[in-house]
Amino acid sequence: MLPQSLAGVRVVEWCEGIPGPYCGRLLTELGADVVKVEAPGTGDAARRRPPFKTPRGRSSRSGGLSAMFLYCNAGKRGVTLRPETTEGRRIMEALLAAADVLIEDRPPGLMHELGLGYKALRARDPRLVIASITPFGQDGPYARYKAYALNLFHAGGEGYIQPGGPGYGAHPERPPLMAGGDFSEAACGSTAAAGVIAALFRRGRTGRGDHIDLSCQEALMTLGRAELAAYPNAGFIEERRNRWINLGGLMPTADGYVEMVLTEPRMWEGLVRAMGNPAWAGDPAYATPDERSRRKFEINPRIEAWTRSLPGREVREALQANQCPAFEVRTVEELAGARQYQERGFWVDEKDGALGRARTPSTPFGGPKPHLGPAPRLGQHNAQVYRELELRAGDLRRLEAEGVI
Amino acid sequence: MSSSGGLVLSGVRVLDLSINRAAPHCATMMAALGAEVIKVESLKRIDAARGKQAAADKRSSAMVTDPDKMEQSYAFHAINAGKLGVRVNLKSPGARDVVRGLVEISDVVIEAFTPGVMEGLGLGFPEMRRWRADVIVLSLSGFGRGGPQSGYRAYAPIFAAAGGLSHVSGYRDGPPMEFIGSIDSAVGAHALLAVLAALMERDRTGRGQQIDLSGSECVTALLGGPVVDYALHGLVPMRDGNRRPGMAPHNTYRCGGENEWISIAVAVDDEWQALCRVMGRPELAAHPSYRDADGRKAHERELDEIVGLWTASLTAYQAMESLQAAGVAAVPSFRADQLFHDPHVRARGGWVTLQHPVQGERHELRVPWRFAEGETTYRPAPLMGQHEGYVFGELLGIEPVEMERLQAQRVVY
Repeated sequence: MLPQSLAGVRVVEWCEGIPGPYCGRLLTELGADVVKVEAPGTGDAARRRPPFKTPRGRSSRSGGLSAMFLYCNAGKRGVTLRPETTEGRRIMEALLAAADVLIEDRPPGLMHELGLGYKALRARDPRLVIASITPFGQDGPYARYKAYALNLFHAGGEGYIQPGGPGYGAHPERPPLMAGGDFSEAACGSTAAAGVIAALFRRGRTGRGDHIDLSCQEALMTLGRAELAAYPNAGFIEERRNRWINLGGLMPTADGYVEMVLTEPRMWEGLVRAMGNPAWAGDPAYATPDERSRRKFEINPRIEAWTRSLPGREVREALQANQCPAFEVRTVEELAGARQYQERGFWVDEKDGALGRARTPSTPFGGPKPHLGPAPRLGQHNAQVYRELELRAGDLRRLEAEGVI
Repeated sequence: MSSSGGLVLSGVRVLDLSINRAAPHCATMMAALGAEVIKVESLKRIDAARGKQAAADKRSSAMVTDPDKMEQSYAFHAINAGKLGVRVNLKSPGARDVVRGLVEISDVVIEAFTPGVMEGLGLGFPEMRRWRADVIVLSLSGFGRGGPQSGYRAYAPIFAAAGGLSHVSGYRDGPPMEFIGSIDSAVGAHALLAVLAALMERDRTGRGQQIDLSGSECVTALLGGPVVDYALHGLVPMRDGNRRPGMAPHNTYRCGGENEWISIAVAVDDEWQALCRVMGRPELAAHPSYRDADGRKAHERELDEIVGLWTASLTAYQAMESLQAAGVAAVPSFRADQLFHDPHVRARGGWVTLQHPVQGERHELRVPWRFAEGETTYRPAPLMGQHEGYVFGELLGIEPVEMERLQAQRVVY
């Protein structure tokens, strides 16, 4: 089963924010033992991302625990370490000597300067798999360019073509947009995780590790590879104004919006049945797919008149009962109550001493779900992890006093 | 990029029964990683991606039936590059034996039918496991197997709407955002990671499995902040364009060139000071209203106007270069043509050139992993039934007489 598929795989994660830590989370979901390395005193910048939960369980904008940090880092063990110091580097090397995988997101070149570059690490352990996750990769003219989530999304090419459809129609003069939430950075993390597992698979066959240079820009470009390929291969540039779903698409309902995609002739027939066979739909002018496609700006308002009269749930049920792909646009509140998600065990109620209970996504894979447990407090597992490296208690106290751990 | 460490997925064979985009994306990534991927199609069930025609104004979602047009789709090529192509009409009475032969030689089977369809064809996981004990089957659907909405139909925009992404994307005063294509690939990328994990597990335990992947759940898992902020704080976020809490300026700004935009994000005071210097507006850096993040956020609209006035006189590339040199996160909202010619993407070998027998020269993106040792490989997308001689003849050992019978009975069709 998937939650045990990476059992026995030991990962060291020296990453902050979302792409690297979400990669680490996915490896944790799949059964790997992930040790997260953070800077003493400050830790992962995501710890300081609002909103927070205070130790008493209240929400706060100024201090406490960040929800996104808890999500990305659930189930990891946490240590503090300053690999930039001589002793810190030695401890990092000892951690890596006991590890199968290193994921890191330091600026390109830094690992090499610290003596922790791919070549140095490979010379010590040819089985180590290393993933370097950065906005633009390890080399090339933009390698040291800075990018936040907004910039990454637009770097990948999807930003330029968003929003299309009704969003563009309402405000054609406005700027192109990034997707909401943390979608793009998380997608970079899942791409990185796939690369790590592919390299582990190859290692199982050849005995050799690898280095994966992952550019978040390229990860996001890959998701839009068909849209990008239109330019060199078909001679046109995808534009927001052309990004319309032919028939149906996004429609307002009595209580929100519904999305429907009616690509096949039988879906048109399903829609007509769902609407209760209105007279207008029997017009011979709408008899063929090509005719309907040509008259979509006439047909879509008529579909909309129907969707506006009903709650989204009823529109969706009527369409799905007639084999038409459709669903209402759900809020996160609606997702938390979604029966389909509950019955499949998608939501898990994670317990954390400091937080009480919180309902979070487990994994999108059906079947048994992993129990990840809480995210580590800063340096929570120093004693445990460093004792595994046979560091003595006296040394630990000294290193702590010196700010190395 | 080119190394001699052997293909990453050397020796892995994949049977791809899927059409459209999400699951085919997963299979195409596996092909580039070195797996031998056999895509099963049929004239009875032509992949809708084959209908995406060469010019924007001709794009139509109607089914293609013209055999020439079927081979001209750039979109099908991008989504299916690297696979071998065979025809099997899965609904024909003789199909099960042919599929059985294919399953027996495959490590992984990929399918994205609505749950229940494969079972109805006698091709459910229990059957496949009888044919090959350690087979890994990826079953990708909109809502997963089991549960009241298991039988629901879905395409990418439905995953995004049902999974919570659409609602938090778009202009604050506009409708939610529609996601047409890339969400499919994001789900396919999640599928890839699951299949690779299952291959690892099989190598360790000798056991296969069925992976039951829900597209809408993938989207929710990737959504991150809005989901967990609701879980912990009960907050229901509203879409807000390019704006994000705690950051300003944080938007895309129109540049001087036609259809050119630059994304600029400022988080900390140093970046703001640098932005003001590059804009030639040192007085703004000293302005008390904009000194800290809270002040800038409170005056976000006026800052957007100030920055937009400056970018309007520059190309997006000029703005990126001058701002990045000063340590400000600025990247164009890249168009496809810019990404095709971009010096950075080019320097990293982002594009490969392939020769397609009908379409001629095709340019496709390399996979996003630059392995130091493991090799990747690229070939064009298959013509309908292009590799039947190799797959049916050599791999399955079907005799020419039998092939003729299968074609006459429209099993191979």
